[in-house]
Amino acid sequence: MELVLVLIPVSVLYAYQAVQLGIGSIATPGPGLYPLSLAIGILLLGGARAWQGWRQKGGFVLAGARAERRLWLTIIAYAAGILLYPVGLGTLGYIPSTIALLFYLLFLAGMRRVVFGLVLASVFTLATYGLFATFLGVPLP
Amino acid sequence: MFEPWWLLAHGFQVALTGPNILAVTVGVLVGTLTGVLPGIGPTGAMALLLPLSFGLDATTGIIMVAGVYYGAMYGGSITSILVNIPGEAASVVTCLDGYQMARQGRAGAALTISAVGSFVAGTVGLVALTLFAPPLARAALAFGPPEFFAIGVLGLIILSNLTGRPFLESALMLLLGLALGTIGTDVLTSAIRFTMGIDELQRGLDFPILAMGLFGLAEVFGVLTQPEEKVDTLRVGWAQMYPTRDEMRRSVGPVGRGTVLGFLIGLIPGPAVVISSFLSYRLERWWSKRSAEFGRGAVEGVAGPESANNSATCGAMVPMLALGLAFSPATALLLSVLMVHGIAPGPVLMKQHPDLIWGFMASMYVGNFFLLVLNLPLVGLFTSVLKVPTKILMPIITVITLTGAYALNNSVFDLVMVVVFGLFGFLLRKWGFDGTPLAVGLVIGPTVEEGLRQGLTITDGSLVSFIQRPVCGALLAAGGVILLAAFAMHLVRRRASHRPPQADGSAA
Repeated sequence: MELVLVLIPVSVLYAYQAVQLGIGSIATPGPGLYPLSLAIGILLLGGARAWQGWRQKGGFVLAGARAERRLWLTIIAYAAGILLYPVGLGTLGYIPSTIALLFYLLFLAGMRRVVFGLVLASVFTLATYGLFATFLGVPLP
Repeated sequence: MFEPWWLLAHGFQVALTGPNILAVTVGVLVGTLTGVLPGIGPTGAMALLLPLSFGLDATTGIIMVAGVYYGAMYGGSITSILVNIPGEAASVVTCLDGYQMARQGRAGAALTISAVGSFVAGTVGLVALTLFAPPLARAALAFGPPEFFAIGVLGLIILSNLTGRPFLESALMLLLGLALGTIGTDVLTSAIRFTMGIDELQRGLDFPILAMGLFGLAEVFGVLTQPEEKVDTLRVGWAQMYPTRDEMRRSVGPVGRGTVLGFLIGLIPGPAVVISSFLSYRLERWWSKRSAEFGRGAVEGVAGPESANNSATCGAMVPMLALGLAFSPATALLLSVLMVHGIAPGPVLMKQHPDLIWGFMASMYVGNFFLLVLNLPLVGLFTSVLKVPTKILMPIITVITLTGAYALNNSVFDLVMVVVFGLFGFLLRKWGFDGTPLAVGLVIGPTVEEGLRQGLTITDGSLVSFIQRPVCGALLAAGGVILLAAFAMHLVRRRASHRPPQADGSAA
């Protein structure tokens, strides 16, 4: 249900941009015709799904129970670490930033032995660097 | 008549070179190791290991990723039999009788029957692929944009009816995938569409990046949020690996039927591999004189489904190789290996790149053989992967994925997109949606749009002309019939569920 509630306004925006691109005619379709038809389809199906959900539940019930908060914190922290990774990649280079990321991810996943985590992160990062940069010839920063 | 076999012989010359033998060996071994992990199916394994192919040439790369695919399929069977945890969806039915056989001390026999059945089905499926793909590719050369539009539409209609989720949800995911496929530069007018001013989006969304997020990182998130369970693995002695004469005799029929059924189902767009194993199990249960043994360790319940799912992987490759169209995430990932190397998939693929295609097909024969001879002795090694804690495995898999995502275009933006799609894929699962139609929609979308717009231009906007073309009309009619049938079945089910129970408690 949450997805449908997001999709409906997004598809309205998508339809608006499709119209801006130019619809053309049926004989000479413009770049916006096909996206517009998709947007209408998403709106119709999304509306139908929302109606179905409304009838089944007697109203919209959004997820996000408190029990799930810890789970979400882990996922968000995990994703945030990955999103910060490019910053390290650009400034520190591949090896230090990947060791830091892997150590952080291991910690988040529940690895609490610091020295073992650091050694594991270092060994694995060097192995990955060797695999990609040396063996497969992929340039890494 | 003999042309495919000459070409296949040439393919063996390509497949049996040192780098390609190494690629197929690494592919099947790493694929099996990854497939053993519960939660990470063949598509996830391919998405996670796809980056390893970027530094290889196109032929070696696709050979390795295909090895990962069928290696992961086999890996899923090992955990089904030894641990009662299906490594992937197609192995769910193998748990029913495979684990029961293992509990009765027949684990080795179940593994051998599974491996031999997979090998026979895979090999026969490849023979069928060798025979059917070239003529279809030749026929497809005569297809125009309307035919490709119709093939795409029919495939998408079938897919949205077969995901196992409600049609409305699958169709919604499909349309979302098609919409994502419109992001980037329009190939017909060069108009920049839906990029939100982000330059990196002008080339469109890269399918490997989407797959790494949607099927790779999302799987990692999913595994991380599951409580870690202690796994008890049944031990297998080398002496127990041989099935008895009776078990072998009882396996012959199911392997044969599973092979034919699997290949035919594989031709249908959608989760054919999973459907084929379930249908094969039902068929064997119906066919067998010992149907009461099913669920208690019937050898037919292992041989049939395991053969069917391997044969289905070959069937799914017919449209991929002949038409350049992928109707499952796994085949889309294989095609994306080619696209990463600048090779455009399409009906001319077999003609323009015979070394690559026939080398790839020959490598699958080699890979099937390697799976048979390497995996049975290494069963102990594969199951030991289950003992490595996920708190170590998942971060390591994440780093490999991120390194590969960066290596694709040396782009930081791609890393961000992997995370975005990873979170989106995780949310989809939490909300009960299947990401498969979305991924296939993204891949097929440009073909459908180009076919539709070029077709409309050719026919001067006449949709009737689409229907008047024999192939296009037949395909669209088939799509219409499937939609009507699905709608009728929905009405029948709805009416049955609303009918009040009769006095004896049964539904009327």
